[in-house]
Amino acid sequence: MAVASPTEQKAAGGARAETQLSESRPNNSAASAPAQGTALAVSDRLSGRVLDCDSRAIAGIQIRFRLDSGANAKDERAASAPTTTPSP
Amino acid sequence: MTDDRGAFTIRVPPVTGRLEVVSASYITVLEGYAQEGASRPEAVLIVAPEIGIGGTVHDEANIALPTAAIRLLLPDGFRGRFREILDASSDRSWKCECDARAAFEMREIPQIVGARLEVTCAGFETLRAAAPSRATGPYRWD
Repeated sequence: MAVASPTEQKAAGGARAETQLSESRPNNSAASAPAQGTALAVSDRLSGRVLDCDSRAIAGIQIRFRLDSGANAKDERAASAPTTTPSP
Repeated sequence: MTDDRGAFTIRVPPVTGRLEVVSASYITVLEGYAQEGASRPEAVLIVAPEIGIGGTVHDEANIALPTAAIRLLLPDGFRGRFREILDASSDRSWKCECDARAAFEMREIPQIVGARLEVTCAGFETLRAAAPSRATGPYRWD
């Protein structure tokens, strides 16, 4: 079996096949999507870092929180252009 | 928005969810995982440049294999590249199936040195080959 003639086509449109996102969950976690009607009035603050594959910090990039239930995906922030800076 | 150290703080609802980047240039490779009711350690998100690839799958006799499926595999030991604690980071995966012409397209995959494409098709041995990158090509695996 061989794979032939691939072409790089970032953002090209039109093909039937599409990238599918599947999610792996840490072993000790159970599904815990909120019940319907759950009020999301209380918020937590979550901190973290964004790195590239060479451990360099990525500055100026937006982060989005997505509920575990795909149908209820919730954007918390908008997009922005990223820049890369070396880690200190 | 991340600062110069790549650090961020985001207000999130107290439910289970995931953190990912929103970018026209980068794609999330390891996403942050926040579990409802649990302590929430620092989330480390790993990103890579986003590329799209496409191609066709056929056998040695050049017969198209429209039932083939393609999956991108992260490099072996990928998590070991990082000194950071990745307990709150979970893997993503990318896969697609060929169309009736045995063509496939993966529009949004990460460009990672050492990543591989795995091609599976009933009745054939699984093929694993280096994933293409923007820096090289065109590609052919035999």
